[in-house]
Amino acid sequence: MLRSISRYAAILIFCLYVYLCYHLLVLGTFADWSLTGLLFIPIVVLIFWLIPREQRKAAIVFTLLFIFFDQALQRIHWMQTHWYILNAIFIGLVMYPLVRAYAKLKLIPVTLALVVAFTMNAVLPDRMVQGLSHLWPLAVTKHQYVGELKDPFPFALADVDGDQRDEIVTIGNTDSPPRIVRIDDRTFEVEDVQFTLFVYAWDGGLKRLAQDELDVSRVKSLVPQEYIGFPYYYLTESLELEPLVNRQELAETMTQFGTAPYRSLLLNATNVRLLLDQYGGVYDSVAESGRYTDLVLAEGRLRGAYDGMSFDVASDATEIIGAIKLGEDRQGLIVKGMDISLYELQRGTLTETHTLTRSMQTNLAQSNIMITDVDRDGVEEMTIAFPYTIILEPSDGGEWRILWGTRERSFRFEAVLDQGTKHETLLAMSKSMVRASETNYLTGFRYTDEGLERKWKIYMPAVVRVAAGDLDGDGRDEIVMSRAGIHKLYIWTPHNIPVNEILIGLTALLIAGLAVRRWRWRHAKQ
Amino acid sequence: MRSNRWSRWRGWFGVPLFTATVLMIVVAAGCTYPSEVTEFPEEAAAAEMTTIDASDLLTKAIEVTDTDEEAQSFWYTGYVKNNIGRRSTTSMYDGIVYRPGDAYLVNGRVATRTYRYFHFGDKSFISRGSNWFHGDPELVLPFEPLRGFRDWLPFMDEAVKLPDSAVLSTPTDVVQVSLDARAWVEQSPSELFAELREAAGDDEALQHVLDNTVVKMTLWIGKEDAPKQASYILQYSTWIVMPLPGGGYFDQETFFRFYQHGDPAIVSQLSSPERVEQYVLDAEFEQVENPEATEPGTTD
Repeated sequence: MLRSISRYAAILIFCLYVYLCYHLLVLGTFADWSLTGLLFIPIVVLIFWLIPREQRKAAIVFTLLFIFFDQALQRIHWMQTHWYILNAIFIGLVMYPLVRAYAKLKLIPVTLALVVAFTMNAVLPDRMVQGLSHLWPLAVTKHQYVGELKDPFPFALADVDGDQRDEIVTIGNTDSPPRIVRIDDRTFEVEDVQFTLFVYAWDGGLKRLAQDELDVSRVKSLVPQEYIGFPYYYLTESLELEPLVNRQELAETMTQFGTAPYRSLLLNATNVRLLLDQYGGVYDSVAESGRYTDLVLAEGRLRGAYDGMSFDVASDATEIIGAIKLGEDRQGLIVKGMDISLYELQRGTLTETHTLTRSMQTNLAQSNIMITDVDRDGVEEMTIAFPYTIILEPSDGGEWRILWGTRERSFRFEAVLDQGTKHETLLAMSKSMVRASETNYLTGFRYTDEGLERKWKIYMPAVVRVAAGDLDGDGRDEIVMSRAGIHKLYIWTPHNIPVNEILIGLTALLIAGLAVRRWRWRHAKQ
Repeated sequence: MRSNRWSRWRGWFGVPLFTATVLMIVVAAGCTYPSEVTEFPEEAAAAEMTTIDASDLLTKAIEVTDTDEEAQSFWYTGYVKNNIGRRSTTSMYDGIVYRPGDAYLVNGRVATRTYRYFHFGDKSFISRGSNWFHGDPELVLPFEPLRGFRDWLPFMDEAVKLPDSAVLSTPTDVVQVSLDARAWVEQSPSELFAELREAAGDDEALQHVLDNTVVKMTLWIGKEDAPKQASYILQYSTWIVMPLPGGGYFDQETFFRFYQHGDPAIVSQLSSPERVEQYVLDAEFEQVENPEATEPGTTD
C-alpha cells in the first residue's frame, strides 16, 4: 500500500518535472536556438539509455503521452468548464487503449498524467507556465473585449484614487453582452460597440472598481490614445468604437483603383477632424509635465509656461512627449512632429536646442518615446522605444549622445521596472541573437556601459504590451501585460527563485540516480 | 580494486556531471547586447532628379489600359497600410476583374477581419465567415477601374522620372509626383474632394493639417516597347504622411498592382451570380433576446 502510494507520488512528481522542463527549458532553448538546444537530444538519449531495456519503452511512451495530454489540453478552448472536463476524459479514453496495447501502461499512471496535465492547464491557461521561470502570476483579469478585433486594447497604470498605488486602466465591451442575431436557423453574435472603462485596483487581490467610484473624465484621459483600427474606426468621447466605413463600401470604392489614394485621404481627414473636434481643435494639450504647465499644441503653435514664464513658438508638432531633466536643475520639453524637437527656455525664449530628424532615425513618425535615466547621471535620456530602439542623451552643442541602439526592428522597449532603485530593470521584447525569426520575447535587461546585460528572459508567446507599476504598495513594481488575440490582462511579480537552474540540477540528479540504478543492476547481474 | 571502482564511478558519473556543468555555464552566463549604433547615418546626398512632363505618358496609359482588349481582365493585389506607434492597421484587397461582364471579386481584409465580395453588374454578394449575404444595392458603384487616374494630370507636368524598373518582369517607366495635401485637394479636379475642399476653405485647423500632409504618388507604367502590357498602368503607390492629433505623424501607403492581363482562367475563377445565389442567406435579421448566456471571461 505504502509502496504503491509512494510510486504514484513519484509519477506525479515526474509529470510535474516533465511539464516544467518542457515549457521552461526545452521550448525556451528551441525558441531562441540557444546553445543548450544542441545538448537536448544527447541528454534525452542518455536518460532513456540509462533506463533498463525492459522499462525503456514504457518510460518513453509515458513521457510522450504526458506531453501529448498537455499539448492537447492546451489547445482546447471551451467556455464552460464541464465541456473542458468531458473533452479531457475523451482524450484519455482514446489514448489509454493505444498505450496499453503498445507499451503495457497501466490505468492509474495514465490517469495521473491526464490529471496533472488537466490541472496545470486549468491553473495556468494560455501558456502562462512559460512565464514561471522568472515571474510569479498574481492575477488574470476576465475578458475585457469579445468581438472580431485581434489587437489588444490600450491600457495604462496610474494612481486613479490617490492611494499611492497604481491602478490598471483600460477599456472593453464586455459590460454589455454581445447581441445575438438570428438568420434562418442560425444565430450569430454581434459584438457591442459600446465600450466602458475597466479600472482594477489591488486590494488583497485584483478587484475591479465600480463605475460610480470613478472620476470618469479623468480616468478616460488616462487611457492611452492608440488609434485602434485607424482610420477605419473612431472611438467617440462616449467610448463607442464607431466604424467609419463598411466592408462593401471599401470593396466598391477601392476597385475604382485610380481613386484609392483619394479615398484614403478622405477617410484620414474624416477621422482626424473627428479627433480634432473631440480635442477642442487642438492637437495635444498637457496640464503639467515637470516644470512645464498649460502646454497646448494647436494650429502650428506651441504654447505654455515654464516656471510660470509663458512662451508661444511656431511648431509643426502634434504630440507633447513631456519634460526631460537636463541636469543642473534644468528641464527641457520634447515634442513630436515630423521630427522630434527638444526645447529649452533660454534667456526668456523657448529655443529648440536638439532635433532628431527622419533621416537620422528610421520610421521616426511611428516611434514611441520614453523618458529614462538608465545611466543614472541625472540627465535623462530620450529613448525611442520602437522601432529601432535607441537611447539618446542630449549633450552640449545640440548633439545627441548615443548610449545604446539597435538595428533590429523587432526589438522594443516596453517599460522600466523599479525605476531608480538598485533593482532597476529595463523590460524589452527581444528576439533570438542567432535565429532570423522576428518572434520576440519579454526580456529583463540591466543597462551597463558595455551594453544591455540580459538578466532574464521568459518565453511566453504573444506578449504585446508591458507596463510596470506598484499595484500592491510593497515598494516593488508588478508587471502587467496584454497578449495578442486574448483580451485579458496578466499581472505578474518578478521572483528570485532560480527555477531553470533547479530544473537543470534535477535533471543532473535524475541522470545520476538512473546511472547508479543501472550500475547496481548490472553489478547485481554479474 | 579501489581505483578500479573509482574509475567505474567516474565512468558512470563523468557524463552527467560534465553535461550539468556545461548546462549551468551556458544558462547562468548572462549575455550582453552591445550597441549596434554608434553614430547617426550620414545625410544622404540629394540624388539627381529629372523632372519631366509626364502628362502624355499618363494620358496614353489611361487610354490603352481602358481600351486595349487584353487589359479588360486582370488580377490585382493591393493594400492600405497605416503605421501609427506600435500599431499597424492594414486593409488588403486582392482578386480578379472581368470588365466585359462588369464583374470583379475582392478578397478583402480590414483590421484583421476578412471577407469576400462579388460584384456582378448591379448584383453584389458579401460573405461573413462562411455565410453569404446580398450586398446593399445602394452601395453598389459603377465599376470604373480607371476612375481617378486622370485627376493626377494637373500635377504631371512636374513629375520626377525615377530609374526604369520592372513589375513582374515587364519593364516599366516610373514617375513620381510629390506635393502637400492642400495643393492636392485644391488643385485636383476630383469631385471626391469637393466637400473637403469646401470644408478646408474656412477651417484653419484643417488647413494646417492638410498643409503639413506630405503626399508622394508613384506610378509604374509598362514601357511602350514592352512585348506585352505596353503602356498599361501596372503599379500604383501613394504615400501619405499626415499629422495625427496627439500622435505625431502617421505613415500610410495605398498600393495596388495589376497583373496577368487577359488571363483566360479569370472567367472560370469568377463564379457567377447564379452560383453564389444558392448559398445566400436571405432571411430577415432577427434580434434574439440575449439570456445571461455567455459570461465572458470564463474558460475561453
